[in-house]
Amino acid sequence: MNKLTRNIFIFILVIIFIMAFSSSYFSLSMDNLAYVLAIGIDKSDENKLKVSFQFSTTSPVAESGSTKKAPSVIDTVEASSLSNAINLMNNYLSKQVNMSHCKVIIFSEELAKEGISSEIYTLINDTQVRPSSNIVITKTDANYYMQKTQPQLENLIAKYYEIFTNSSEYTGFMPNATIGEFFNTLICKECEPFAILGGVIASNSQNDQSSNSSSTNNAQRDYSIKSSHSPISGETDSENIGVAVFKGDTLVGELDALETISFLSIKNKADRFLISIPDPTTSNSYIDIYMTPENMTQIKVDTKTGSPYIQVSLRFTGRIYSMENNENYLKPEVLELISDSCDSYLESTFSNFLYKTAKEFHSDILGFGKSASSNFFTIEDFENYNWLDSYQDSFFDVDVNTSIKSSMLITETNS
Amino acid sequence: MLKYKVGTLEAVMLILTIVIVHTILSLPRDILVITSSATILNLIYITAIALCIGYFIYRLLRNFPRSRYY
Amino acid sequence: MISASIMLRNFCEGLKIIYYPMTNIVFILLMFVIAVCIANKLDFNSTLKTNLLILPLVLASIIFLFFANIQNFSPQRIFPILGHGLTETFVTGLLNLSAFGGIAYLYFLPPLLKEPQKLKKVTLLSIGMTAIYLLLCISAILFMFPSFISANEISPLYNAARYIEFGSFFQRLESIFLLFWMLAFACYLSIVTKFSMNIFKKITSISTKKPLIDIFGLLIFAIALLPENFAVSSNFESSIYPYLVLGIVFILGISILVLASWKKHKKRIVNTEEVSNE
Repeated sequence: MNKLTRNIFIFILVIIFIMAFSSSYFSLSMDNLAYVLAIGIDKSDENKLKVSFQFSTTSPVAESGSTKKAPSVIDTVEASSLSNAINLMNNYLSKQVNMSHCKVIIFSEELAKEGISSEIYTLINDTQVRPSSNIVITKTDANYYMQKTQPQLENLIAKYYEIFTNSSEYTGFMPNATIGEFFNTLICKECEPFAILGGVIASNSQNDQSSNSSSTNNAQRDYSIKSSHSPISGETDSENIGVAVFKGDTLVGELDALETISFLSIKNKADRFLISIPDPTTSNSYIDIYMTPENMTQIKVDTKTGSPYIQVSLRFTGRIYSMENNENYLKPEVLELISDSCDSYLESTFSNFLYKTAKEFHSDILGFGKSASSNFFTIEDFENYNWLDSYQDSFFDVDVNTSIKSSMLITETNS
Repeated sequence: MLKYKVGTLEAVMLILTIVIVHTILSLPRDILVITSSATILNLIYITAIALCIGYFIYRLLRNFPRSRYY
Repeated sequence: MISASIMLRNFCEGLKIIYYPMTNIVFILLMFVIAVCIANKLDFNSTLKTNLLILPLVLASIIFLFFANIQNFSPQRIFPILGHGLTETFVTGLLNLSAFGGIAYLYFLPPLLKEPQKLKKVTLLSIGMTAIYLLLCISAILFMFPSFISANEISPLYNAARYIEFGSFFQRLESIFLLFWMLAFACYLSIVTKFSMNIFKKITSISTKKPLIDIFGLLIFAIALLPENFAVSSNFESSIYPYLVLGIVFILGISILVLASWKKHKKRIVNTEEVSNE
């Protein structure tokens, strides 16, 4: 009887637990959830937020071998805050909004200029939002950017959002900025946050490029592009080129493609990139070189005075990518000349970029403050130095050492 | 409880269980709030103190070899 | 017991926020309490063997968490080297000695050891391993997140685990970590309850501790339900628990041992004098 009573008790306990935990299971069941792939946040007219949600639909589309693209749905709601927007959308939809697969968070430039800290804190506080979600600042409305993002080579928009930042590894034209890193740099006193600069290709952007041809060389123009002003045309109208620079939670500036390469190189985030340097052997000519960092960037910060003195030392290995007639890259002297040209070009490029971040943006997005903190014994001393404000008075000394190994398959051409 | 004797490794894991559970919760945050970036220096310092205290406790317990005070 | 119950409450609050938002905290607490009651009905060796099985997994998970997050580390976060100053680091920082609260169990171990002569090895090895484990955990968090922060998280290790990603296939591994941590927590509660019951049995001189099992389970459950919200239980863990450990484990425990040793030494001297007089 004792055993029977015990078994009945255990059975009742199991039933109680099943009922107790089923409510959580029900709320997290896949059939009841609407998965958000991207969130776009704009500023609306009445000092509210206009939040756009891009949902995936569960249509049975095979990823390979099918030319049909899986549709996605974009719904927009106006609310006073992000949490209210999600709440309203939960009421509107037949399913509950779930952000555990949200890969991209998009802010419009207009909103970013006023400050986005409350939205960032709200998103980070959410248990569903992953810290690896990318953060994009668009030069147009976030809603418009989402509508224009149509993947060309993938059937699923989710797949596109998953891999679109891979190009930062081999072009260096945009950073892989995540909301986790943005939040850490926002609350940190040694560095400032940054984001991916996105935009929609303007129809007259190609004309803009050609009209400026007299002032800058064609090769250089390829690297002075930013989102919304690139000479690309295709099926996808959205593009991501450049970095959105923040001071605190406010957008203060943008970097173009070449400055982004400088940014990623100094931050040790560029695996390889292509640059065009002046040809030392032929005037008004440029050589394309594929650069690979040889080791980590050496950074030294001197904080003896109120104006920090920052020394940056980089080493690269290069392979000549472009080839013309009558070129001889077998001669060591030629390679050395090209290396020297590369060094001076990169030094001036990196130096211009660093002074731009200090004098124009007053924003230490490179995190030199972390190296500066080693000069202080206590946190109070570092805080008294007020690094984030002192950065604007910084002086930079850039040393680049490039070793051009050879060209690629062809080393010499003769006419 | 006294029927079963605890092996060396089991005893070590027993003591380790306590700190593991605290670390899962808010122990790292509590430590970092006090010592911030000097935490690693502080950890080395308190490890030395804890080792001395542990050895001292062992020397004191050695005076009671067969006592089943527990 | 009280601290274990409050920690159980903190842990269950975290679980509720992350995985069981619609479930009442009572049921999450009951899950652990029932597991502990069942474990205590078995012999001590079953708890020890289970602990021996689970803890290496937890240790391995922490080592994995450390190395998997290496790409997110900024080693410069170790600067400024003295933190808030010498006083804060070396004087106020002594409060961090409460992290070695496991030393409390050293007082109860000698009669239980299979090889009592290995007590020294057990002591030094456990403190050493605790130090290495703490170093790994705290280094991972220090290097990943800014140390002078204006935000506190519920569980920093869980937050660190969320950053682990290997390509597009191995993502969201924090669930596995949480599973191991839940098992470790159940082992911890079981051990604490066993020692508490035996101390109580010794104090009250009762013959068997079987009736105590359910009572202690209920006690843990009741104390865990006492805090009104997470702020109260978290405040206990950060403000009260370190002083409890320092006061009871280190000061009181060592004082009792010192007094007992002195008394024994005095008794030995008196006995020696009596023997020599005869």
